[in-house]
Amino acid sequence: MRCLPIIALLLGMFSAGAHAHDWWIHAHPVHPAPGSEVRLAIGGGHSFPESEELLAARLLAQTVLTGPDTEVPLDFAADNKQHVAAYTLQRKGVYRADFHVQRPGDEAPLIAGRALVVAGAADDPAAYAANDGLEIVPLKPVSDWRAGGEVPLEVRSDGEVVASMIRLERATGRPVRMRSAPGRPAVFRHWQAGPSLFITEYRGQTATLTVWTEE
Amino acid sequence: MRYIHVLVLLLWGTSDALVFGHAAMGRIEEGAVGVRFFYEGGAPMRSAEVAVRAPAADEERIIEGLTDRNGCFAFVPDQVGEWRVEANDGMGHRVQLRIEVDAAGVPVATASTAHGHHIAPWVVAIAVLFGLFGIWALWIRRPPTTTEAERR
Repeated sequence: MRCLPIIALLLGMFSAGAHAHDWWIHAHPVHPAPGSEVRLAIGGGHSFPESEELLAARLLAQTVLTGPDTEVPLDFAADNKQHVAAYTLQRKGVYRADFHVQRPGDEAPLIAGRALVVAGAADDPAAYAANDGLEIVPLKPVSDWRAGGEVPLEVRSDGEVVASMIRLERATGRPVRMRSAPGRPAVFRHWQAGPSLFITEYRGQTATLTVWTEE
Repeated sequence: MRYIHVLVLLLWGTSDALVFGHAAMGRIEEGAVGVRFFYEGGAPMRSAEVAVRAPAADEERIIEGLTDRNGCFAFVPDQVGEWRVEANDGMGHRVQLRIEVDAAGVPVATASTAHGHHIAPWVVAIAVLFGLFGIWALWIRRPPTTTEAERR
């Protein structure tokens, strides 16, 4: 009888771990010097950062790199279980690599994925958001994220801060969930180096943000 | 004059036939098999890629298309046997229906296999049952309140 609550808890944890496939975009390196090439890869599955599924090309939309005075469409090509592209960053500053997962005929994307790249150590949190659609926005310069520190983020819908749960997936360990609300950002503590994927869902849409913290 | 009228009408009719020789027509076809694909929870699998394989076609796709906004797709089988209809949403979810069509062209049985992350209903049912038992077990083992202790 004593083990019943434990079994119930374990089953509850098993159910909570089951969710739809995550879709993300990786950028590497994330802190390049101006003039160097950044490789981008769109992947998905349940084992971040390892891509298990190739997103159907017909669903891939709005693949854009936005940087200082720059907005270029990215041409992705399928490569095994991911779509890959490369781009040479000419200027220093913050670049947003975005993609949408959108069904033909739909007005809005199902998923909006983003990776942040800071070229030439010219970080600027004001450039993290496009204030269009659903976004996860870091409130602290990503180049200042350090292992053991704290990472605050909020969720915005068309530029307005909204209440939503943010799930953090890492290469190892269980997902961490933190609630974000207007005036009360989600703060992830005891930060670890390596790739991180943040996911949020709001009004039927999903937004993901990939950040790579270096050692 | 009468012959000229006849000739003009004849020429007119010939050119008409030439112009409309490839006219497209449509009608309601009986014997169509309609299928619907959906996710757990009932949401339609919209704009999913559908491939239909005929009984004798091995792996060759003889029909390809997309589901509509309700997750529906239809085709007209022209052979007796097991037809395989596979839907792929392009985001990691695939489902295959095996449809047995009889001599009258009527689907008589279906079976489905799914690929993708999902929880079986029996797992959910067991989880709910264990959850209720867990709450009940915690409730009966709770420490007595002051009032209850005094009453004893």
